[in-house]
Amino acid sequence: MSFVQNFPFFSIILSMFSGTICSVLPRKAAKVVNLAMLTIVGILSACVLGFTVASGESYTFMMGHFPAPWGNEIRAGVLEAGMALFFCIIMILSIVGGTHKLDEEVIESKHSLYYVLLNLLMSSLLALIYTNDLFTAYVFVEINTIAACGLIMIRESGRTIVAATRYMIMSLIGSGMLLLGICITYDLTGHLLMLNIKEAIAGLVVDGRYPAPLLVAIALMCVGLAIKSALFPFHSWLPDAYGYSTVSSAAILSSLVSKGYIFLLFKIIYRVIGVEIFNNSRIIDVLFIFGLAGMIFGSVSAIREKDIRRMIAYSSVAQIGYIYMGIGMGTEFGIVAAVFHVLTHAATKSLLFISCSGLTDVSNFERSFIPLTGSGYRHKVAGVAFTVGSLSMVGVPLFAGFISKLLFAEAAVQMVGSGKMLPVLIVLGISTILNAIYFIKTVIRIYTPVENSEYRTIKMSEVKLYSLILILFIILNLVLGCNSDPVVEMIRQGLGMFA
Amino acid sequence: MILDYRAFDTFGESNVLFVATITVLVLLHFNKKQSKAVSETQEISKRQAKEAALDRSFEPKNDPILQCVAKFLVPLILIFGIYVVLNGHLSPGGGFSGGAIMGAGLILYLNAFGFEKTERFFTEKTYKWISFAALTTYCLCKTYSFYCGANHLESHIPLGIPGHILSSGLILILNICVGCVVTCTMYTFYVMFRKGDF
Amino acid sequence: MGSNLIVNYGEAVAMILFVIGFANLLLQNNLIKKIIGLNIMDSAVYLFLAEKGYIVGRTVPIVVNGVQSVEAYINPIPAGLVLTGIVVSVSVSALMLSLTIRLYRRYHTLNLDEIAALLQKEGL
Repeated sequence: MSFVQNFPFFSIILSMFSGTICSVLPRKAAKVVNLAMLTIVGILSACVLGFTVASGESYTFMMGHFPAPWGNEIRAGVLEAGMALFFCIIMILSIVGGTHKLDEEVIESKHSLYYVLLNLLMSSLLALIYTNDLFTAYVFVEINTIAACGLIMIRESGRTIVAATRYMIMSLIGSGMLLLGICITYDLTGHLLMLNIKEAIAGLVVDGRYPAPLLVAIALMCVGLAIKSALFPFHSWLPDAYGYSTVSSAAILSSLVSKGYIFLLFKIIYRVIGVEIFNNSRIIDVLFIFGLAGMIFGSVSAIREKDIRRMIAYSSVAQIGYIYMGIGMGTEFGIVAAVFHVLTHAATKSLLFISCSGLTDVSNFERSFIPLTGSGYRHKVAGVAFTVGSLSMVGVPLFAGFISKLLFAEAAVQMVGSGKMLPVLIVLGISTILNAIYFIKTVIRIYTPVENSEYRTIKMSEVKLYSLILILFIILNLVLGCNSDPVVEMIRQGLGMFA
Repeated sequence: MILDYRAFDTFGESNVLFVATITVLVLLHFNKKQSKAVSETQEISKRQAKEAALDRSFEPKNDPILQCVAKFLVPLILIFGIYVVLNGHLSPGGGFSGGAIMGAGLILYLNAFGFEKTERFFTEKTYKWISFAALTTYCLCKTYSFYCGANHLESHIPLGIPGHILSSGLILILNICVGCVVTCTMYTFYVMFRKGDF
Repeated sequence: MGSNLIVNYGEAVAMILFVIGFANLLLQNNLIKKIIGLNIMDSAVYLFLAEKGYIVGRTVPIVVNGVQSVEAYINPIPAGLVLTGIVVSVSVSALMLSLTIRLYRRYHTLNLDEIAALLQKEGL
C-alpha cells in the first residue's frame, strides 16, 4: 500500500486537529492556520487524484484492525478526490475574498471561533466525501449542520438569529428522518458498511421479502437529505440565511454545505441502494417533480425580489432544482450532468456573492436596486465579476453554466422512450428565460450610468487582494467553461468506479 | 465497543460536542471588556442591556442547607464520576456517562457556593486548554491506531490481562479524554446559560 | 398485521412517538414546544434502535465469569449507536435553547409568528 493512499485519512485528521488548535490561538494565528490547513489538504487531494486516475480504480482504507463487515472504512476514488480538491479551492477563495467584510461585521473576540467553525466544516465535508459507512456519515452530517448554523449567526443581528433558528428547525427534521432511515436499513440488513448493505438489499429484492420496509427506508433517507439541501418545498430558510449573513459565510453555505448532502445522496444511491433498485422505486419520480417545480418557483421568486442578495439566494433554490432534476432522470448521463452542475454552481454562486459585496460597498452599503444603479462603473472589478457570474448562470457559451445546461439537454434527449424527456426540455427552456430576466436586468442596472452620484468609488489598486480573488474566480469559471472535456471525462471515470 | 470498533464515530461525536460548545460560546458569551463597544454597535436598547446584565449577575443567596449538603455530596459525586470513567472497559459506564456525572457535580458546586469560588479554578482558558488537550490526545492515539491498521503494521501497544484496570490497550486513555471533554462541555453549557461568562 | 404490531409493541410505540415529535417540531408556534418535540422525536429513534438490539433470553454484553461465547449476549452495536445519537441530541438541544434565549432577550416573545411580524418592521 503506497504512502499516497494514506492521504485521505491524513486530510480528515489534519482538518479536525486544526479545528481544535484554532480555539486556543489568537485571531491572526487562527487565520494563518486555517489557510495553511486548506492549502495542505488541497495538495494532498491533488496527489490522491493523480494516484487514482493513474491506477484506474478506487481503493478502500481500513480504519483500525478489523476487516470489512465489522470495522470502519473510507474509500477514495477519482470522483471523491476531485470533489475534495475543488471544495478546498472554493473555500480558500471564499474566505480570503470575504475577509474585509468579516473584520467589519463580526465582533473581534469571535473571529477565532469563526475559524474553528470553518475548519470543522471542512473536516465534515471531507469525511462525507470519503466515508464508506452509513453511521459515520450521519455523525458528520450533524457536525456539518451545527457548523453551518454557527456560520450563519456569526454576524449578530436580529435577522440572522431568526434565520439560524429556521435553518436549524428544517435541518433537524431532515436529520431525524435520515437517522430513522439508517436505523431501519440497519434493521433490515444487519450491516453498516455501504457495500455490504447493497449486497443484502439486492438479496432482499430478489427474494421479494420486506418490500414495504425497504421502500420506507429508502424514502426516509432520500427525503431527509433532500430537506437538508433545500429542495423546493423546504427552502424557506434559504433566502434569510444567505441574504443576511456575512459574505464569506454566504458564499461557503451556498456552494459547499448543500453540496455535501447532495454528494452523500449520490453515494447512497450508488453504494447503498443500487442504481437499478432506486430507478425502479417511485422515490425518483418524487425528486424529479420537486426538482422541476423548484426550478420554476425559485426563478419566479427571484424576479420579485428587490434586494440583490436575496435575489441571488432564490436563484440558488432554482439551481438545486436543476441538480435534483438530473438525479430524477435516472440515467447515467443525468447523474454526470448533475455532478458537473454541482461544480459549476459552487464556482459561480460564490463568485456572485463575493462580487455583490463589492457592489454594495460602493453604494453606501445599501442592497436594494436603486442605490446599486451604476455601481459597475464605481467598482470595475466587482462589476465585471458579477457580469461573468450572471452570464454563467444564464448559460451563455464560453462560461461554465453553458456546459452544464448542454449536458442536461443531452441527457434528456437520450431518454426518448420515457415520459420525462419533454418536461425536462420544456422546463429547462422556461427556466433559462426566467434566469435571463432577473440576471440580465441586474447587469443592465449596474451598468446604467448615473450622473452626480455621491457614492464613493473604489479603484482596483485599493483592494488588491479582493481583486485578485475575483480574477481567480473568473479564471476558474472560464476554465470550466472552455476546457470542460477533461473534467467531464474524469467525472465519468469516477462514476464508473463509484458503485 | 464505541472506542475500538466505532472509534471514528466516537471521535466525530466528541467533535459534535466541541462544535456545539463553540456555537453556544458565539451566541451567549458576553465579554465584559468589550461590553461598551458592543452596546453601541448593536441595536439593543439600553433597557434591554440593563435587563441582560441583571439577569447575568443574579446569584442565589447563600443557602445553608444547600451548602451543608453540597459539602458532603460534591466530593462523592466527583469520585463516583472518576470511578465510572476509569472502569469503562470493564463494566457499564465509560467516558460519556462518567463525564456527565462529573459535570453535574461541578454544577452543584457552582449553585451552592456562588460564582466567585468556581471562577477561581474554571476560567475560559481552562475550558479551552482541557478540550484542546483531550481532543488532540484522542486524535494522536487514533491516528497511530488507524495508520497501523490500514497499512497492516504491528501495533506496539500492550494489551494487558482482561479484567484488570490497566488493560485493553488505548481504551483507558480514550475514556479519560472523552470524560474530560464531556465534563467541560456540560459545565460550559450551564455557565453560558446562567451568566454568559466563565 | 395486527398480531405483528402487538408482538413488536416496542417498535410500534417508537413510531407513534416519532410522529408525535415530528408533528410538534414542524407545526408548533412556540419555540420551547418545538424543542420538546425534537427531543421526543430523537428519543423515539433511540427506543427503536435499542429494541432492535435485544434478543430474547440473552443478557447484557459484559463478559462475566469468563463466558465468552457469542450466544450468551445481545447485540452490542445498537447500544453504541444510541450512545452516539444521545450525545448529538444533547448538543443540538443546547444549541436550539441558546438561540431561543437570544431571541427572547431581543423580542420578548417565544412565538415564531410574532417574531416574524416584528422582524418585518425592523431594518437590517
